[in-house]
Amino acid sequence: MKKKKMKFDSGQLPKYLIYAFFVWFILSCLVIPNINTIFTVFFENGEFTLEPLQKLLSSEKAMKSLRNSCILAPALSVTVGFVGISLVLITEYFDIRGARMLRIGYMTTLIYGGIILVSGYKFIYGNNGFLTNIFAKVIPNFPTDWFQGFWAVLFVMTFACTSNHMIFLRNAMRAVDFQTVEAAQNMGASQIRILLRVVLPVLTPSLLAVTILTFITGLSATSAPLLIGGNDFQTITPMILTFSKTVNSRPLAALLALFLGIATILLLTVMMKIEKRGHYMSISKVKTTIRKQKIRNPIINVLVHIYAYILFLIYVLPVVLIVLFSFTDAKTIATRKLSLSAFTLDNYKTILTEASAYRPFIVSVIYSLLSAVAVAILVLMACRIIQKNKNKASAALEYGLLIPWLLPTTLIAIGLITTYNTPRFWMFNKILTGTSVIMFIGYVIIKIPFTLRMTKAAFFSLDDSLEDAARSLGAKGFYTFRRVILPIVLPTVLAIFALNFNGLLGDYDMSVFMYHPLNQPLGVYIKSLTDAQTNADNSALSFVYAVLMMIISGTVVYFVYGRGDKTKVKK
Amino acid sequence: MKKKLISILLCAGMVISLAGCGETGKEEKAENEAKKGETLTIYTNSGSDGRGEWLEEKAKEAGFDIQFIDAGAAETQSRLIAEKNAPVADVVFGLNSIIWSSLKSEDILTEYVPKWAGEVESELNDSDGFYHATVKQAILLCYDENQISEEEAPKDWPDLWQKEEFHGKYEYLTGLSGGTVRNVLAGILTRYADPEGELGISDEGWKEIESYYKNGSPNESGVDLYARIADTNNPIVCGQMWSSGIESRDEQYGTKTAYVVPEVGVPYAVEAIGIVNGTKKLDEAKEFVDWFGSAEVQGEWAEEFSTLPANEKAVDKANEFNQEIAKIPAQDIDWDLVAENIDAWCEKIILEYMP
Repeated sequence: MKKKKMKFDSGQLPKYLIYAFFVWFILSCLVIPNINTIFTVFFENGEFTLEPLQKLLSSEKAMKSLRNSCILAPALSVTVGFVGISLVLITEYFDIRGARMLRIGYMTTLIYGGIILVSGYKFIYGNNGFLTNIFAKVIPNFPTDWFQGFWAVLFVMTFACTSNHMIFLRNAMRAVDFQTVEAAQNMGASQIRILLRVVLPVLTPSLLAVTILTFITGLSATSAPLLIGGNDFQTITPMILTFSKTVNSRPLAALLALFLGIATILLLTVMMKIEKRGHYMSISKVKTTIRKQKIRNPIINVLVHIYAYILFLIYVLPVVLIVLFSFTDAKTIATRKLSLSAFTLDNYKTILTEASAYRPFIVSVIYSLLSAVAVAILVLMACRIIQKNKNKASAALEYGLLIPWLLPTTLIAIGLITTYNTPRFWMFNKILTGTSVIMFIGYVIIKIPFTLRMTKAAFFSLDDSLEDAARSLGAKGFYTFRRVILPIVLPTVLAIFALNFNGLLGDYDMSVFMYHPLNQPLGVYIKSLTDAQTNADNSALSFVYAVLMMIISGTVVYFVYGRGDKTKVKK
Repeated sequence: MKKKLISILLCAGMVISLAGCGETGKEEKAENEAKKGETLTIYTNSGSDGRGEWLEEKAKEAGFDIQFIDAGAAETQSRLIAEKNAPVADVVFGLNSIIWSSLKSEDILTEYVPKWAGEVESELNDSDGFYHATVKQAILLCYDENQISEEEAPKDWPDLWQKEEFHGKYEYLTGLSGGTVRNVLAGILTRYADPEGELGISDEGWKEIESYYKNGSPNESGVDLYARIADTNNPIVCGQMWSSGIESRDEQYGTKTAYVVPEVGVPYAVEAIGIVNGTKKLDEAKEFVDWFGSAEVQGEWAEEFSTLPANEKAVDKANEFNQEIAKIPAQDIDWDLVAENIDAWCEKIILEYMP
């Protein structure tokens, strides 16, 4: 008895150290730097003011943009949910010809995004786009500016935001126990009934998690409304970004961001409540992997195939066009008229022969790699604490780590450099501003909420009995974590790692405020090519960079998935 | 075994921040000791298009070791203000008068009058000696002569919204943090200066600006103005452009740019150079400023990058095009009024007037 107690104590010490670390981290990196920013909204020269609030409430445009964001978010959750589920069913559940190729096509959103992605879609559907030109020839008086406004934004974002489904929902689908499906079949259940009653319930926790992400993406939509929203469908984030760039308008930016932040928090609270109601896992102790289902009704089978291949085209065409246009010049890109005569290798030559051009690649790869690893470790520890202790402290930990979702990246960056440009005792009296560490800290911070959300979902879908079994066999806490839990959540963790890495690779919003003069990251470098101060239009070069980044991101995704699939097979 | 693993995990967690901090401390020290203030860190928004590399090389020949932080004007300003207590930069160049005057009032700059200060038109330099002009940039309303003739073209900015034939045919920017767009706005709004009016501008002025945004076409993110002008299917025929961006665009797009010369003149964005308050390498920074603004360097810079030098001894090095630009009269703008209010103006425009 005595002996046991002593062991218990020595086991507690590192635990408290980890707790202390989190308290310190949340306070010094998440709370303190951002409090000041929020203060500026309500205090001007030390006096309480509601002026920014009044300014916004009386602005028709701000209110309309806010309304648009709030319309887009739920609409997107529905459409992305529908398309996302169909992608997973097509690639993992039904027996569709060419599923492997389809899967690669559907996964293209993992390797590019933002302005470049939307530009790709504009090449097809926008003014002078391929499809628009065809329509214009076939249908007289076809409005060539048809691809604009709410529906265009919804369309592009629906296909742009399925990355999470392709990763997390797909992982969940693979965890569906085939024996249950077979049992239902033997009892004479129809295919649609099995899908709705057996398969979908297993997907629910992951579906909830990815829907939250879709909702947040919808709320903070930027590139799509900017490029194709037109006058009628502008959203709030572009306005936040504009205001946050100007020193004196920052209170407005922070206030708008708070509006979005509150909406996010409300949503998260609701989702967390639903999640706490219980697990949705259909738990079978000896899982067999799913065997693909042939669709029995021949007509439906053909229709599903057609649907699958149309989706494939929608996903792949923009990528193909971006690659093609990267071999042309700015004028061709602008007028969208591809011709053989415009084909040139000059863009690539310029970039690959300039010594200063590849250094940003190395810098960004290293920073993104380190940050993605650090976030993964940090969040794994946090998730373990949240999973094991369901009390106020762990809830505080969870909400604390979600703080970066409250504010836009720019404001978080400015909060950090302003707070740590003087020695603070809680940062061990170190000045961080202007050092090469601060950008790393910034990268870690902005990736925490997403990582936490998705890793937690993986922890929740864990089968408790596995841990119980390990414990009853005498395994200690950390040993169980390392040998039992970690291998199960590893595919998810690696997938998140890949997404984080790819997301940070071209980051601009954070980097521009934090980078060390010797280490210019990729995002800043690319932006400087197309910035207003440049003397030439370098849009062709930015396409080349997009392609090169796609190659890096694609390699990372391949690497992670190669590994992920292997572990599955081993099991 | 268990302890070992725990310590590994702990280390992993702690190393993230603690070791990181330690490292920085070392690095900073090393920098100060080894190089003894020889490496200058320079902030600029004017380092793209190979200008940064060119300057680095030239500076090396002259015995300077420099490194750049190249970012947009607004970002550069934000960084400087946020780093006020621990400045990273030693020297700043580029930007525009509006930002320079705000940097000065924020106490970001230190006073230094370079040797070449007298070679620059005195109105362009800061009267208190905090920053001094290097490059002049005319902010122009440009159109393509292949598409519209001089007679058809607008004669001044207000024509765009006052004459129906230009409605929907000119581009305005939706982002208002850039230097060029702020100069355009300053050029329009200060014509209606009125101490009694809202934010120093008369009601009439605000009505005009409302009309400017109502009748224009917003820029497309990622699409250059010239791409839209060159595209004959696109209704856009004119928009704002800074003078040194014109030649390369004509080359790229096959356009033949002409610009509007209003009676009141055009706004000039003045790029300048200044030393950051709190730099530890003050002497080196002073020497660099003396070198960079000299007629010789500015002349070479003008030849290489088609700019219009502020240094009068270097103006003859500018090419024919810029010699022409130099002849355009400067608009008389109350820059103090602009510097004081431009942020509030932009806020008002975004919140109330932009569709």
